[in-house]
Amino acid sequence: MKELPRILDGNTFVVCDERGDIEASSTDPTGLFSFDTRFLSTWVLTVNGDRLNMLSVDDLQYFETRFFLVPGTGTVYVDAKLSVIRQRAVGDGFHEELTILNHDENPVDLTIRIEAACDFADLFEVKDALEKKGKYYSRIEQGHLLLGYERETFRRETTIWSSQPCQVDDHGFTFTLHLEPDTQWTTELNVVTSMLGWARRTTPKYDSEHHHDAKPLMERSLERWLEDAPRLECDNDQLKRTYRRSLIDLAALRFAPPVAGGHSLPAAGLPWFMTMFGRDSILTSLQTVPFVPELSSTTLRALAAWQGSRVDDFRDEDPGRILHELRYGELSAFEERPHSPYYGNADATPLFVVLLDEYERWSGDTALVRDLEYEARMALDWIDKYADLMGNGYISYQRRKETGLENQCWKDSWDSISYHDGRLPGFPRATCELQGYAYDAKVRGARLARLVWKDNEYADRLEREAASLKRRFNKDFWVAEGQFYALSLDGDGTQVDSLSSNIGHLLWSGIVDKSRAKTIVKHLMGPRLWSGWGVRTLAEGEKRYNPIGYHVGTVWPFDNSFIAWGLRRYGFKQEAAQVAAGILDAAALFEGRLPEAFGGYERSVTKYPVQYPTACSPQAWSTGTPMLLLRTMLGLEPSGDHLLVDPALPPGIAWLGLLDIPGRWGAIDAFARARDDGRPRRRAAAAA
Amino acid sequence: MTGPTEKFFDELARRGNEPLLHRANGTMRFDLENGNSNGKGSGKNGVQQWFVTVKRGEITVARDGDRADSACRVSKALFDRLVTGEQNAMAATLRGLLTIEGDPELFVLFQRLLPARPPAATVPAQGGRS
Repeated sequence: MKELPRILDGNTFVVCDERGDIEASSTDPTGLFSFDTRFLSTWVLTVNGDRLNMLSVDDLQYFETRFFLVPGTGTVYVDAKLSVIRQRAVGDGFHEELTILNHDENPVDLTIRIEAACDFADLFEVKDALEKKGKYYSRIEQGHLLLGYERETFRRETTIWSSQPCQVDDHGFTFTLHLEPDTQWTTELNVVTSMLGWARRTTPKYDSEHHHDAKPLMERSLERWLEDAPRLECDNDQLKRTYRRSLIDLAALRFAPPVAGGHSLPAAGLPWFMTMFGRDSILTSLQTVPFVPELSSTTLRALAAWQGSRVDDFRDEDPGRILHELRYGELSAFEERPHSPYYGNADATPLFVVLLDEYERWSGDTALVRDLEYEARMALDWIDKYADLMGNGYISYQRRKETGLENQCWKDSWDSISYHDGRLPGFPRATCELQGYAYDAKVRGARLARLVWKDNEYADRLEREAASLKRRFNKDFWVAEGQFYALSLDGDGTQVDSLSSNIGHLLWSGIVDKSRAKTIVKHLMGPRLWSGWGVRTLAEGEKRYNPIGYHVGTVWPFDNSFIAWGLRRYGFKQEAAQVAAGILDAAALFEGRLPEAFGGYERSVTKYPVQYPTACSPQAWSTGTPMLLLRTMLGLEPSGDHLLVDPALPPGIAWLGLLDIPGRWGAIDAFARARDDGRPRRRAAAAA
Repeated sequence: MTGPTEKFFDELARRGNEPLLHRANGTMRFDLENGNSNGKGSGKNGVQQWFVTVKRGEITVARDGDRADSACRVSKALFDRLVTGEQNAMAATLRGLLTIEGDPELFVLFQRLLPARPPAATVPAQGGRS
């Protein structure tokens, strides 16, 4: 599937066609979007009434694109004596520099027209094709065209103006030009979005009259980001390309929520998910702690600020619960959707504690751990007080209102959780990986309690609870016949007996009995789950298995990165390297940008990973995947003030060095080299 | 006459320490305008002010003050409904009924003190075994 040109900055982004035009229908995600609202749905350029043809598109930066165009209606570029350049950068809206060049020996008279219109659709409306309830208006003031939408006191506006004189009407701008031979003409078009109330910027990035000033600032910010990240050196150029692509995409996905004092955290993905998600922001932060630890601290602070404080059925909120998703659009505003914010997930709360501990182990930032003590305790309390819906000592989930989410785990599609025979279980559901996260949260919480909060009694209690949970889990979830852990328990406490990738997350959390680890690894690397590229979400042979089913057979890169981490945790270095190699090989075929998911087809059959047909790319936790895989290949593990390195490289990488890894040790380098016999040679890390 | 807003601030002042605000430092000013809950207030004369100062969770409430780190402007009628949970603060903000100037984080932390929509929702399940 060909990707449309996209540029973005935070939660403002533009998706257009290859000419730079926007002609959105009510259901497709093209347009200028900001704070989950479409602020421009039509933006079409014509010259003498004709549409233009694309010669080339240059993605200059993630926030800037240049389109080279020529007039003409057919597919053949006859007589291109005129060329048109549109250079567009996104900011608080966007800034477009439109240049017309006359290459002819004769002068020309031209009518340039920009059509502009807006439907002010909520992103949810674009997804689900809903009707608007408010009314539209437009005004022309001092050459500025203002497009607006109003429903009661809810108001969103787009203001557009040109630096060159033109005729402005309610539907756009008309320029009448006379161009002498070999001359050119340029105008700047500015599009500025505004919403009243919540997101009114208190510190504008730049004066809207001087839009172009923002660009060098964003360029510098990207340069600094790339300079500050650890440097990768290795003999595999594809891996270097993948790493660089990931760093740039991660920079693009940075989002500064109003509560983080200007700091950024990873938004979940473009275009549907440019907002704060508890699960996605935490998992991406976990993947990237060794590379960009500041994403973790911002994620923790922002999610703590929004931590649930009351029981609110509409939002599935409880005291201590970490939010699922925050949205700023019309449907949230009128409480037609519960995303203000919505709390319906069962994993982000324990994962919040897991991230806090992992972040401290790398950064040594005990000040943040002290600062978030209350929130971390609230999160740990939530596990037993609010998440145990069945009273059986396990986290389970069930939405309280129709508007909530049915599946509140990462596999959140309707058919993701099924028995071996394909039936769907009733609610509440206690998926297995949630219990692993709860176990890990208690173990890590105990470490923080001892180390930072100086509460040994609490630490002892958490450890006792963790040990008891592990014991019970290994009894209640173990499917004796198949020799693996059940995907879930259903509302009656019966095992949902499917073999799934979730067992890999259990290794990561450490809840798997040591004696059973080998059996679990055999399943993960066996023919039912292992496709050759990665571990499938659901095993072949399960009734609902489908190699292109969203959560029932596809391979998810992020899922595999955590499985690789789990394999390392239990000492299966070669298997972890094999997972890394499969996913990184796939990344190379996707030009360094891993999709959200790809088909679970056997590698030897398709030879090429088949991308799942989804519009979301880049996706944050796919972007973070190569970084976590680098960590697992190098075997990086903080230990006190030191960083342990214990590499295991897959075939295809002879040597690898990661330089200036930030952390409590300052900056350190890690190296790995394959030995002639295929086994890796260990090299000690040296402080830089 | 004591309305929900007065009761809310009165109770807040007596609370002393509020763990939900332990990370907050600063003063919030609430400008409560007379007028109905669906529109603008009646201007400066009709504004009732409250100052809530938080220092590491220690709360003081005052009716006057000079500086504030964040100012929240909203109709008195709507604020009455926010403190009883009939309306949600974030949703009202997105609808343009409530505007925040200055530090938005203070307000995000503060809105966690407001109750959920009545009738009081019930806890979904009993506590687990320990």
